[in-house]
Amino acid sequence: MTDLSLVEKMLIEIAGDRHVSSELCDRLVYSKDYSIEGIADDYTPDIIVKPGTSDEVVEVVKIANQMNVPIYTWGGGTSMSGNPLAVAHGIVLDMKRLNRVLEVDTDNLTITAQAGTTIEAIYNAALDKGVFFAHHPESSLSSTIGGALSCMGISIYGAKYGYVYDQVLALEVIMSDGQRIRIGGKSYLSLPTHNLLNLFLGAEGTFGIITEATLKVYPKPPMRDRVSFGFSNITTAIEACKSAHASGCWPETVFMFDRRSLVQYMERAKTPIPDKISMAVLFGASGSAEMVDTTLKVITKCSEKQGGNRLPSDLTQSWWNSINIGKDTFDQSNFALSHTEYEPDLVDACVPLSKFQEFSDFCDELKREFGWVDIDFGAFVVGGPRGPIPFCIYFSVPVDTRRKSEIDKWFQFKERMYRRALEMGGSLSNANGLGLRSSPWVQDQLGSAWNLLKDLKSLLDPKNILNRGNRGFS
Amino acid sequence: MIDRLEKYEDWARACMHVRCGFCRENCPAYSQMQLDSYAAKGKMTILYHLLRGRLQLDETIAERVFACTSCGLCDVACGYNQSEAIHEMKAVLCKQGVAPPEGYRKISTSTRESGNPYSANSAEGDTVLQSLSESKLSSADYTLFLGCTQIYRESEEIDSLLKILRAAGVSFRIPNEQICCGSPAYRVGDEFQAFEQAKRITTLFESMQSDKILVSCAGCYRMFSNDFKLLMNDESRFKTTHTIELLQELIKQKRLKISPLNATITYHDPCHLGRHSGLYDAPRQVLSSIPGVRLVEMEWNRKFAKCCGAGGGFRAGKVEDSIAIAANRVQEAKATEASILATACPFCLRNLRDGAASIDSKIKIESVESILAKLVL
Repeated sequence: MTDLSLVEKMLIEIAGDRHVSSELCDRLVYSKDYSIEGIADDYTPDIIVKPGTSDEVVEVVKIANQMNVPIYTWGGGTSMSGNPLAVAHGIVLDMKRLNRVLEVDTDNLTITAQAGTTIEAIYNAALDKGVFFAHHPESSLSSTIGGALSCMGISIYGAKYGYVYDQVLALEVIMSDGQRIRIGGKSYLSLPTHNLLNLFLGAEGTFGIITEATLKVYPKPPMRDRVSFGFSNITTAIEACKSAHASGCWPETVFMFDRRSLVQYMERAKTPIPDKISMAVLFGASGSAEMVDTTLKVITKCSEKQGGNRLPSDLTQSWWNSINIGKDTFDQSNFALSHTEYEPDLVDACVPLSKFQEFSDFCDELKREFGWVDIDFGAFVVGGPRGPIPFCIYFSVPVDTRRKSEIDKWFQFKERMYRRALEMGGSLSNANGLGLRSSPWVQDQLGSAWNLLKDLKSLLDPKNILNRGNRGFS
Repeated sequence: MIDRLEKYEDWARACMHVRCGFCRENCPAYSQMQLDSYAAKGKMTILYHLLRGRLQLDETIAERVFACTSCGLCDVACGYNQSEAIHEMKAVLCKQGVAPPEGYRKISTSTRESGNPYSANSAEGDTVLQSLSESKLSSADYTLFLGCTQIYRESEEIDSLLKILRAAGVSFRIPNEQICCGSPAYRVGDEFQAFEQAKRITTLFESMQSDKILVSCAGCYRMFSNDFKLLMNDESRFKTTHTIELLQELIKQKRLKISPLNATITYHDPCHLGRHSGLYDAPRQVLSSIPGVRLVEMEWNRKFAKCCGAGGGFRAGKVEDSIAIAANRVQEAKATEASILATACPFCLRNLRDGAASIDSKIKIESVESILAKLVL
């Protein structure tokens, strides 16, 4: 039996008593993320520690090793899949004090920041120097770069610039034995052999703890503008996206919401949505005025050819405002505006592009079967990183977590959805991280490759202290 | 007693679920105390688990809950009025007799024992008021209410204010009895004493037959214009005007002759005046009307303005953290290259000055009234 009071004492010696707590009221705050996993089970950690330097992180990891206590690394806590939940309790390692932007190198178009830096801080530090950091999720104000690199997430600029993984040039990682390694450098080809970055990107802290990252930044586009279109279904909307791609358009934003999702996103702005809109697509372009104008004109032509109706400009603007959340706009977020009757969770499984409509229809059918008909959430389709062509579809499902029977139903529902996705030739998606929510089907999908993954885990984390019990690992 | 918080259960559950954290990154208490439980989101999680019985009210929870400057920036981020729920948590803790840390408690006990949060001899306050000629008047357009902080801590602010009002020929009189508005006690959850103060104030104004009240303390202003009706469960029987609003009007009517001031000024929005009362333009217009003044904005301004760190009893409860928050705000002001940081609240004034001193900043910190008073001809 681990002596947790001794562990706490050792952690206090490292990080100071102000940054360590075993009080229940502090621990409960770290017992749940956006997913329903933290309501369905108790993932309350035993101790919280919030180190201020990567040296302190090294020492914390060494203690965890010595005392055989699992570590769950937390950033902003905005993860959506139960990614950092303390499945086996133990230590929550809160990284938010490692929050400094270390360098903006405009000559080499890089920015280097500690892992606990918020994405908004990185974005603004880049802008202050006249360059642009392209990963910008709705949670930018509070989510950290370390969390994003570990759990992924969607960027509003992803169609042009790609995943958050695509922004990475180098990482500093603390391994499970406390060893510090650096991978990559400032040049765009700093990987002399196997791409070791990929061991840690999207790994949700299971292979190592990211403490610092060097990221790509870009010349700041002089302007940006956007249009939105309503379509009768997903298929015609995707055809319009493909047509725009064939025409040479490279927009930075492609967000596709079904009506229910759009209604939810207009909740704060209260902008009316025209009738007869089933699917809506927001296209955003950046660059010179000429380039933006041409891109949006061509997208308009492609959309109208597929029967798309241009949506009113106030709706386009409200939609953009609701997803472009930053320091000056956080009062317009719908992410913050939650609901009191239910909590949304996600089905995050990627199916082949041609199956988006079929999968969406299946989801609606299943919702009816489960009796979830009067609900406001639906499908989200996001473009990136291959221009206007959408890469993922996911579904938001509101669950009345006040009733255990509804929580149980949610677990049955997601089982059916994930199974169907795999049957359709799809995959568990990493779009919002894997975490506890999506990991039950990892072994099935990977088949024999699962053994390789398990062996890697054993090699890199022999005592299994990193995110123990999550992501399909025991 | 905890039943009183049940109305927030759905909010708390929703907040605990979404975990957007927008309230956390801008929370002054969190910026100092560092654990997530100090941010609004953390407090709402605590509230949820209190209602579910997993947590019980105790001194540790009181320490987390009372560490809130009541600035309300969390409310701007959130669709819900989180600061209201936190305030009610303080009130429940207070009524349950769960002791908050000593500094907060002292505000309450001092107000109960001496009638003001500073434990000052109220007879001395009465003497200050009675020495002012306007306290002898039996009628006037306005009744000027002077708050405890002005009387016991920032008396030169009273001189500035009187100079301007007299120069503009404003008809006002002053009560000859010093009574605390109850705001400090209310902010630390002592609703009983805040109610007592509200009753005394109401009786005072009724006895003076005053229905137009003038105040220059942001805390008193919020109390009279917003909180009294909650405490008294009744519509206010008097209209409250902040002196900044009156100054704006006096300048518009050209009733003040103002000499030029060659200075760059930035304005700090007091939470009670800005976010809680919506007064953003008046102080800026007053400052901009001074010939030669260049008004510049801090990065965080108006409804997004960062707190000075003094509110909600935080300065009394955690003085070093409170001053560190003020120092951060002063740094923000310095970044504008302004030579003067102006504000319109005596609490902000004191804390920002202490914050500036803590980092050896030379920026001048002054109230709008004191800037103007030096320029009034």
